Amino acid sequence: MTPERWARITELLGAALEKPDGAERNAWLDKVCADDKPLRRDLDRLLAAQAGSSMVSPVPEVLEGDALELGAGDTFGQYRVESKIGQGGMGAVYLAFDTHLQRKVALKVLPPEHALDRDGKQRLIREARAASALNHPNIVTIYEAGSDHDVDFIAMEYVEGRGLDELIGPKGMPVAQLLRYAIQGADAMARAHEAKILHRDIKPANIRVTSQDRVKVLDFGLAKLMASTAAAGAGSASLTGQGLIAGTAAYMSPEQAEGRVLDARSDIFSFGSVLYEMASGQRPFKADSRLTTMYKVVNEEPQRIVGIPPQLESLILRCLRKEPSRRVQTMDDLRAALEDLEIGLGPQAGGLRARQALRLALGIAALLIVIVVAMRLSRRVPEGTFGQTVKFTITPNRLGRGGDNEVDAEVSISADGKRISYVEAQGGQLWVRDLDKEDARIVPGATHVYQAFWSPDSRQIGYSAGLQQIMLIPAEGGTPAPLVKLPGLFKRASWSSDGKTIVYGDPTGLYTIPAAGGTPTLVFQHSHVEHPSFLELPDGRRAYLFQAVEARQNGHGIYVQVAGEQQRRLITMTKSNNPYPAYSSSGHIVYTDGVLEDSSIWALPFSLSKLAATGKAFQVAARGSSPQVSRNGTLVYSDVPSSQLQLAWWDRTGKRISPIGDPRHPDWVALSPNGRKLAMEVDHDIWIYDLERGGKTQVTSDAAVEIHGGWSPSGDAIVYASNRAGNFDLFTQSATGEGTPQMLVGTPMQERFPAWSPDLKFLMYNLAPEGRPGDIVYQTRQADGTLGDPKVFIQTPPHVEGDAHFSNDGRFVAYMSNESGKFEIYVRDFPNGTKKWPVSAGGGMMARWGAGGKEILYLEGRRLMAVPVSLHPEFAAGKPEFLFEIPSTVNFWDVTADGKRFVIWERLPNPAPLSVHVSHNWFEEFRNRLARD
Amino acid sequence: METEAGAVTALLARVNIGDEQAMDQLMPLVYHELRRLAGHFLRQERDGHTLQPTALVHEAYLCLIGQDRANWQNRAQFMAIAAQSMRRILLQYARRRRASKRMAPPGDMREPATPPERWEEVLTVDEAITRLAEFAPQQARLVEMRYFGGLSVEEAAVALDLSPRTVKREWAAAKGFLHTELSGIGLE
Repeated sequence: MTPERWARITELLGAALEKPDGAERNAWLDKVCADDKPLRRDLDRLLAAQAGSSMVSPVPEVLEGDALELGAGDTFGQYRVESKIGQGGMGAVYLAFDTHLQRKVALKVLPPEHALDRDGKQRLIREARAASALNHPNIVTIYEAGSDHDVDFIAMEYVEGRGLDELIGPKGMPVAQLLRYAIQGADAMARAHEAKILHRDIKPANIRVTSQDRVKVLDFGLAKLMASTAAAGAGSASLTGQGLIAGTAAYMSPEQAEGRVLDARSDIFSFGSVLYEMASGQRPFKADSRLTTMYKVVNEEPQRIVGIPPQLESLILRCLRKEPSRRVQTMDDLRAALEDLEIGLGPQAGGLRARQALRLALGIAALLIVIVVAMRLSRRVPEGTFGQTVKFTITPNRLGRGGDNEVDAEVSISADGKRISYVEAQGGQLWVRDLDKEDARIVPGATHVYQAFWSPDSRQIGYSAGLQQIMLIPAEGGTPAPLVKLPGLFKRASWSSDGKTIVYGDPTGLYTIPAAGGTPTLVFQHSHVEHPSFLELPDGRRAYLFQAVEARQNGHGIYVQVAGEQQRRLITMTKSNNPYPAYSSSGHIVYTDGVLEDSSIWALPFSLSKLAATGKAFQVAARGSSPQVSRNGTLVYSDVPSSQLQLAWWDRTGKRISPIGDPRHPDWVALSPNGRKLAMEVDHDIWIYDLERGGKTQVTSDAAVEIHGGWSPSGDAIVYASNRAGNFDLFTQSATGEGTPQMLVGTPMQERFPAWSPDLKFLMYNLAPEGRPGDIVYQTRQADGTLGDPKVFIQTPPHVEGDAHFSNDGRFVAYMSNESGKFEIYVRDFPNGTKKWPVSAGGGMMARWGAGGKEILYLEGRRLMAVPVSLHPEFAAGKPEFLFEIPSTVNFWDVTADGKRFVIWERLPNPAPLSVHVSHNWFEEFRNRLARD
Repeated sequence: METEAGAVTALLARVNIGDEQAMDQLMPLVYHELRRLAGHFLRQERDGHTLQPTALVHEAYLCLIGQDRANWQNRAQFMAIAAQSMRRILLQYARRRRASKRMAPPGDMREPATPPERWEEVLTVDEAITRLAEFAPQQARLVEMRYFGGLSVEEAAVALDLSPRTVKREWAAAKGFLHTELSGIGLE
């Protein structure tokens, strides 16, 4: 059976099944099969098999509506069809001519209804018409919703022009053009939202642009109509009710993907996705299947957009927040923000209208004032200055991080808001800087400082010394006084406003302790409670504000618990690993949300008397982490350190030789057999770096994901895994970047980690369901160059094996497996695989052969280990020797064949300076802005 | 089981915040749990119960991630993964059984009461799927999902990113092919 013949059989069978069984079907079969007797016999057998097969108890099968096809010349009421101009998942669109009114119309034909009641449908059609009746220049008008011969159709304004889907180039579109279109689109949608009409399927194809650059938004409310019709037709219980899953996966909001109730903010998310694509040429959430795309919409954060104004990027990302309450809240706000951006970019960004010109003038005036104020502030910052943001830049290596795995830079502000403290990365020195002075000074006596906190009189600083105990020290320095011992971990602390008590967290729970010393009192047990602080309630009681991770939650929640009570009140959930909640006397809880470089600072209106949020959170800063607020309302927060790393050559002694390429997000690397070239994953494509001449070549350049690039033994070809056919398959391609990819292995399972044997006779790889590492299999190359049947080399379910590499003589294979409970390196004989030698002892990953095959190198955590091995007469491994510690936690690495030089990802030697941002009376700025809006 | 469910919940939580390694660690647990359940069901089967992959997978799913987390995308995704695992598990059982039957002395009293046809069917279906994959890989995946994973047409459509209508057509052909293969009719 050939794929082509089977495809034809599948098609004919499907069509035959739609005809009534009997004479009509037989006649039709006679016609289509004509003289092809075998085809007819196959179809008969397959048709006969339909009724009889009982091997699966099928879930009740769903009736599907047949799509109606119209051709040129067909008439439909007063409309004469001219041509088909579109086909969505929800019906076809035709260009038609209105014979009564003598004009062109777009005719949308709805799928036939089965069960949806007339009233329900009419209500939805009314809603769609209501949107068009808004008579907005940027909304496509619906002329008529009618029915002819029981087929429902909608006739609407025909817009000559192109959809944004055609206008967005691979790199997006110029910012000025983007803003011009976006403002019109937002205006249209704002108007619809005002009339309580949602679009529900905003996507580039539904936003058309005429030759005069007029934007027209199509299909308001139609998504719901289509979905209800389809759901009713399908008779499926899962699709009924409010949770209709309509819309296009790539532009869907998370609440839409989850079938929840929608409001205007869902449209804002979808519009944000369109803006993202206009700005970057890429969809924010992109995957091979609708399902995976929807998964990403719900669970993943979009990548940053480079090359556009940061305010625009920040605005777009604010539309794309998962939690509706944290997005830009209304289309009006969005339109206004887009207009502000257009003004900010100057007249060349778009035609200025009078109102905008006025705003521009005011904007320039405001800017001048800010510059003057900033110049004055650079000398001195008087306490209580009104609503200005002052920025300090601190020498990067002096700004420590909260710990090895945390990216927050640690800054604290004194209670009186006059001084900040921060920790130096090397040695844990504590520094204090008066906000009105230029220089910072070391606090003598304080060492190994981790997470400092100030006393309410701003005269003492508490900190954890090496995570072993909490110490208190005068702010000018002196001898630190130990307060309490810690169990090797510290979850931060703060002082009560009367200075008498300190509250702190450790991995066992939340505690209070008299600041003068004494025994700690357990408030409650908890393994993940951090950043506690006191809240002084209006009725005289005291409460604790803290962050915690509860079982079955994603991210950290911010909680309040009243002293003496058991009830823990969840105030808000965050995606951050470290939200740093802090109460601000302006009536807010200020905290961090988002992960890594997307961390931003938010403020949630909060009432001390109600112990609950009293409004929606708003963004204070688009980038930043670890906020703190002084008693008098001075906000301090720090930049988020970059997660970019530098690839570099290192030698065996742990000495760095030279960098390779520019800093970037770390990914898989593989050296060519002669060590002169490097295959690297760069944004899901394979690139080859010429390490001698310095050039680079892009080998793959499609939208799919290419990973695990490896080399043929001669170094002429690259072998890699790509999901271009849906799931990961193996391909090979010339290492020059020319020529087409050739599929080596393609199955419905996932194939990854390909490796050739030195004689090019065997291809070994991981075979696994759904992208999880699974078993190691190999295929033998035949005389004609094709590969034989896969044979299992190692399979130890439920354990995982992966990253297999042949020894130089091809007789042994080194790989990693977690069969002992943690990953270790093993060697087996090839091809039998019956003998097994452990190579690593204390854990091991990512093994490579080195020293001409006489040793195996691997990573034990960050420790690079080398094991001498012999291959004759049988494999034998010596004792692992520690070479050096790799300079980051990223374990993608490789080694030259002689085992002498390594390519390793390292932390940037000169990270971008991290700034500490200080804002006096931070809320005044927002009060003004909120009032203005 | 409790620790395992806890581990899976924790891993899913990490998967949700974008931790790739968690995904890698999740699969063996899913596999392990399916295996455990499969063993349980197969023992029951000797007392006259029939093999129910659908129930098996559903139960595994609910055990692993808890009813309240059973939202539909996770479900379809999980079911597609589970179908592949289930195929492998059932095949192992079937092959082992075939091997032990060959070796068993005649009249062995320990012969389980499972109808041998069921096991032969598992093997035949697997072989037929493998053949089908040669010229219709998508239909092969579909059969795997429906036969071994018990996915409905709708669920398979979501998992394969196809319209239910297309899936129905593909399913009709695949089902017909399997039936002709299993009944030994064959096609031309």
